Formats: sequence, structure tokens, C-alpha cells
Amino acid sequence: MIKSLPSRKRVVTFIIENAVSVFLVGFVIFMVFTKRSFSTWDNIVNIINESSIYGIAACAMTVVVISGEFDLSASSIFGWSTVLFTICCNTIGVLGAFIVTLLCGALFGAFNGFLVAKVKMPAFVVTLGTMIAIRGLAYVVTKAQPINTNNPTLKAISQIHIGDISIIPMVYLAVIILFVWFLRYTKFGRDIYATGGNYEVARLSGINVVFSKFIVFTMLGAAAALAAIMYGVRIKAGWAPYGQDLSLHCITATIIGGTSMLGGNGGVHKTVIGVILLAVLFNALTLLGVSGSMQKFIRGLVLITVIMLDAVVAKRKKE
Amino acid sequence: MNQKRFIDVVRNNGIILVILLLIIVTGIIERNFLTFNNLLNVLRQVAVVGIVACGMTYCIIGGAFDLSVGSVVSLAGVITILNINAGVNEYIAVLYGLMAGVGVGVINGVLISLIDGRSGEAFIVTYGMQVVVASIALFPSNGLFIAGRVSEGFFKSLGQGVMPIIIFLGIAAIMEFSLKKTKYGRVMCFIGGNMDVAKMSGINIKLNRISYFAISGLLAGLGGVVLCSRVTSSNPTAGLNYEMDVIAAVVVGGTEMSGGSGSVMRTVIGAVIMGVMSNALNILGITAYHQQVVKGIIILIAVAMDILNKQLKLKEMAHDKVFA
Repeated sequence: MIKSLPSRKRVVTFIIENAVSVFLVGFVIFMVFTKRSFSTWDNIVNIINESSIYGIAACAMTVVVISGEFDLSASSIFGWSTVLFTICCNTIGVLGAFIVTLLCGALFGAFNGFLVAKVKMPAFVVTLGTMIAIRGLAYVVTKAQPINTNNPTLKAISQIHIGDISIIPMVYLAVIILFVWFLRYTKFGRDIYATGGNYEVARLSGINVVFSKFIVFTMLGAAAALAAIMYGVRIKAGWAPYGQDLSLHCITATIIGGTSMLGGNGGVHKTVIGVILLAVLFNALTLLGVSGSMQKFIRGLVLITVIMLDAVVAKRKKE
Repeated sequence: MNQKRFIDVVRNNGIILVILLLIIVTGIIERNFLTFNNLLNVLRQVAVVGIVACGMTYCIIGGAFDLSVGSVVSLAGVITILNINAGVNEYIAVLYGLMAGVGVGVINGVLISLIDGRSGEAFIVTYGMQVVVASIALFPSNGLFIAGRVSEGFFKSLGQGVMPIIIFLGIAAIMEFSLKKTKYGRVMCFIGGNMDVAKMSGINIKLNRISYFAISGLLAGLGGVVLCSRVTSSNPTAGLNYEMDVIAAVVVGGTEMSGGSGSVMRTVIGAVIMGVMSNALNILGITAYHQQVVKGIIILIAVAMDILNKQLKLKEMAHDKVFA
């Protein structure tokens, strides 16, 4: 698309398109030279571990965005899943907890998917409703108290390391590979691009658009649950308010990576870069001693900026 | 024909009828529920949500969406109380609170009209704005309560007695009138119904849409001022999750999410019904967390019924055409 534009316009579009990434890379270089604790091995490992959990959900969020929708309820599915996973670890063991939590996440996702794809309700209302309801459910079950688990198997799993890298980034890597393969080399993956690119044309070409939209939400539900399980592995606790900024974070990472809100293009490999950039940004802000509410402020500002830039680029391309 | 009309009424107001049933059942179980005092109390409680919901209705009819209202409620309260405590004239302090709301609304509107955003984009942009404004509200007091040093006067009177109800219903009446009877309101429905055609008809889309967000912001600000006047203090997280109640009121009232049609009066009914329901659930001893689940599900059902209804009507119309 860009190649057909005149050269000056192409350069301007490129700069707008990558403004946030360029800024963030510049910021990282600045941090490397000014803050010694930033570029230590420990901190890098920390960033990798930290970003892996939300990264798992961000991969699936990317697929939802490619299909032309978005999902706010992922954050609540995450919070609920930390609770469910911890409760199940205390009662039926880690394997059972893993299966139950994953299935439950997928089920919530499928519910969203059904309402959006089949009933044709707007995704923002559906996921807003389920966001409120599922978070409420997590509060109801736990009476707003955090729950701990002392499951020995879980402890053993959390201590698996290759070098300094724990099991969480490994799972993250597996999820990335799985999604990249799914989107590039399977029929379902290609169908999702077609559905997001032009719903009506995809439908008329015989693609099962309803199934495509349904499956992306289901996958996101499962991925949010998997992310929550990894969180449970890490901190061995569940609490209803966990992961409140997950949806926001995942959407931001997706757009920074270069997947357009319009749907139909982008990819999970791009989002991985977005996730890393965001993780580095907030790690650096913490090292610089920026307060929690200020970080929240910046988080919102980054989201608005990337959405605006994304939309402006889309508009320029259309013209 | 009579039967058909009955079915239509049920279809169009299904969720309201279900909640009315709940209210009647509660009234039978609990004698204190359907008293004048309790209902007046409920009205007072819903006034703030209702004021904000009127603005949200404009936004939704105009084909957009405003998720930032909850944070604006907090911010307007904080700004007003800070100014009053600093010794600023209370009229001007209230004005500052409202201005903050309008400011956020205008920023929302400008951003969204810059990208010609529909509800989806508006949703995400105002979601970002919600986070930004919520953290701005936290800065002045580091997240703590601020007690207002005022015991009487104009500001205090805003939240006392039946004043919130009067403000709520007054604003709703004005807004309903301008929606239904003025050019401005009709243009709003046009823009929400079909933005492209409205644009081609020579309507200034950008300016009009900015005004919807500005009104939504203004009323969120007013809601915040009334709320902090009621308790004479400001809580920087007072408006947390307010947008949920507001959206619930709008959709239960029956304004369609797709824009282009709707009414402020129905939003008033939606707000009152949600308030009465919340009160009924409280009386029945159901916790706030359970109520959150109920609220989420009600939003889902209300919108689902709306959309299924529309599809059904289209089918019936097609059927009538074929067999006419």
C-alpha cells in the first residue's frame, strides 16, 4: 500500500507510523547511558519475565484486532482466572487447575464470541458487560480477599529455570510460535485476515466469517486464562483486582507493534516488539522513580497517542 | 391486533418489565420499600448518575461513546473542592469544576473528529482518556479525601434536599426538548444514523460531534459537583466505574448503541429503574459484588434484546412484503 504513494508522502507516513516506536527506542538508548541499573543482566531478565505474562494475552488480542474487533473483558477473565486457578490448586491439584482454568477462560471468551459473531452485538458493549460481570464474579467468589496457595507441585514448576529464564518466558515463546504459525499457515488464520479486511467480501467468498469472529474471542479468553495461570505460577496467589490494566496494555502493545485497529493486517510477531517496548518503558519509569499514578497517566497517554497515529495513518493511506 | 400490540410492548420494554417485576416482588416482601421516603431517597441517589447519563445519551445518539465520564466526575469534584478550600468564590469554584468537564469533553471530541471515529474508536480513545483523567484527579491530594471547608451557601445547596432531583429532571427536560424539537437535535440523529450522508448534506460534522462530547463532559462535571456537594468532600476515585452505571441506565432505557435514535426521557426511566433495582437488591441483602454481576448481565441482555428485536422486525417486514 505504502509503495504506491509519492515519496515525500511515503516518508511522512513512515515517520507517523513509527513515531512511538522510534521515540521508545530513543528513550531506551537514553536510559542505557544514564541509568546504570537499567542495562544490567538482572534487569533485562526481570523485563523479560515481567512482559511475558501480559505478552501471552497480547498475542491473542492481536488476533482479535486483526479480525476487526477488540475485547475489554480480557482483563476481567485474567482476574477471575487467577482466583479460579489458586482455588483449584488448593483443591484438585495443579494439572486439574490448569485444565479447568483454561477451559473456563475459553468458555468466557466463547460467550463473548457468540454474542459478537452470531448475535451481532457491538464488541465494545458485549465485552464491557462481560468485563463488569466477570470481575464481579471474582469478587463474589473470594469475598474480595486474596487467596494463597502452598501447592508443592506449583512451587516446583515455578522453580524450573533454563539459565536465568523461568518457565514463563518459555511458555510465552511457545504461544508466540503457535500464533504466528496459526495466522500464517492455517486456513483459519488466513480467514481471520480476510474477515478483518473486508467482512462482506469475505462472507461472499464463502469464508465462515461467523466462525472466524467466534474463534478469535475464544482464543483470547483461553490466552487470558493462560496468562493468569502463569501469573499464578509466579506469585502463587489469586485476587479479583489483578490484571485490571491488561486489556489496555494489550491493545496498546498491539497498536504500537503496527497492527492497525481497522483490522485485516498486522501480525503477532509485531506485537512481541510492542510488548517489549512497553515493558522497557515502564521498567525505566520505575527505575527513574516515577510514581504509580504518574505511570498510569503515561499509560493512558501512550494509548491515546498510538490510536490517534494509527487512525491518522489509515486516513492518509485511504486518501 | 391488540395481541400484536401487547407483544410489541413486551418486546420493546422487556428488560424494564423484568425489573418492574423484581420491584413489585421486593415491595411485597419488604414493606419499607415502596414508601414515599425511600423512593425519594432513591431518586436522590440516581440524580448524579442520571445527570451524567443524559450527556452520554447525546453522545450515543450522535454515533459516539464517552467512557471518560467516570473520571470527569472525580476530577470536577476535586477541582471544585480544592478551589473552595483555597477561598475562591463558590460560584467560580463550581464554574471551574464544570469547565474541567467541558475541557475533557472538547479534547475527546477534537481527537475523535480528527480521525472521523465511530463508536469503536471513540470507545478506545475515551478509554485512554479515562485513565489519564483519573490519574490527574489523583495528583493534587495524592489520592486522599479532601474535606470541604464549607457549611452552607450556593455550593452546599446543590446537593441538599430535592435540589439534585430538580437539576436532574430539569436538565433531562431541556435536553429532551432540544433533541426532539430543535434542528440541533434532529441533526444529531442524522449524524448518528448515517455520518457519511450527513457530511454530504453539508452538515458540519466535526463541530457538531465536538459539541456532543462537550455536553457529555459538562454534565459529567456537573454530576461531580453535585456529588461532592452532597458529601461536602471530594474523593479522587468517587467516579470509579461510574460509566458502567451510566451506560446501564442508557441501554436499559432503550437508546440503541448504534446511534441515530433514542431519547433522554427513556434514559431518565432507565436511570430511575436501575436505581430502584439497586435499592431493592440492597434491601434484599445482596452485596455490591453480586450487584456488579447483575449489572453486567443486564447491560448484555438489554443490548442483545434490542438487536434481536431489530433483526426480527426486519424479517417480519420482509415477510409482510412477500405475502402482502
